[in-house]
Amino acid sequence: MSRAGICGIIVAVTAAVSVWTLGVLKGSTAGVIGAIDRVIEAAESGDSGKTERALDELEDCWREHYLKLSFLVQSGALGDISYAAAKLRGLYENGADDFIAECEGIKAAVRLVLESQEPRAQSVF
Amino acid sequence: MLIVFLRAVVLYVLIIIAVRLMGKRQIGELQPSELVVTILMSNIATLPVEDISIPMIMGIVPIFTFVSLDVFMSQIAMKSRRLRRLFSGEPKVIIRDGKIDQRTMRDLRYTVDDLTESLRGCSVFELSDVQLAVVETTGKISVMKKQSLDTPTREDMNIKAENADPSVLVISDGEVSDAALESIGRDRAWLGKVTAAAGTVPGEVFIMTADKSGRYSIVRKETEK
Repeated sequence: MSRAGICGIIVAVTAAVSVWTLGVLKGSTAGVIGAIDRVIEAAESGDSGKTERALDELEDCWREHYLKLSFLVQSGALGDISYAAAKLRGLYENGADDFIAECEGIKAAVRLVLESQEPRAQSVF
Repeated sequence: MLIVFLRAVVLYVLIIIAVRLMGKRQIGELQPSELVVTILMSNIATLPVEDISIPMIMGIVPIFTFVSLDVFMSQIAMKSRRLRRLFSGEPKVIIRDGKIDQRTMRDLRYTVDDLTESLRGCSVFELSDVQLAVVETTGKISVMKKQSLDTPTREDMNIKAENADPSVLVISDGEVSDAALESIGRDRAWLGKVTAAAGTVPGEVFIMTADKSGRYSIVRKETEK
């Protein structure tokens, strides 16, 4: 196969994988945000059992999402989110006032990571 | 540390593939666009090795994108002279009939030292000996000496010469090259015969060269004492 042919395949595969990855990330980010929303909802309803289960679900969901993101995003940004997510259970158990604020903060950070991967004018230039 | 080691191994393999993809021209003389890609590639490759927080894919994707773009550009440039000039520039005559074109030298930002050094590299020590000197797109100078000062050829002296192909390497360290044998119109049976005549076998030969006329030269492997 000619060099141009091989390069054409490389570019096509790279573009296709990039688009596919973005789709996977969007789905995964939506999953994490959904899990955080459920934690907030459960915490606001005052149901501690439901909140514990929602926190378990969020931890699993973030672990899975982290694995996918680690192939694409610098680990520094992900480390900050992991650190904040790890604090959630302790904050809830101690009845901390900023529990919901921390959840919202994680949500915003997860959304920012996805936005940094989206091909927008401000991220490309 | 293990991560850095593994990343270095993976990137080494990938860069070799990328350089091979760019073609052999890469190794010898770099065109401006190839020089840009090479500099960028070497810089990008080191980032994920030095900093393990950067995902490997951030090094791999730009390397292969640059190489692919370079291959596409050179493919397009092959079809259009105008684009070729745009990407690589064009050769410039710097000396014509022993006279230096000072304007071209200024345009190319070529110093007298650069010029004399390049001429000496072409075994020219007198400016007046030069009929034509051209600065190639790679920055190298090609020199044509005045014909009155050039070495006469066999044709000039009416000496008959055969234009035969040079000898090819048939056996290298005991390994027979069938492609080389085919290029001189011979086969393994002939090889077996000539090596037997030399009192050896192909596996015991260090170097064997041969040409189309059947002339050959054999160097046996030295036995370790």
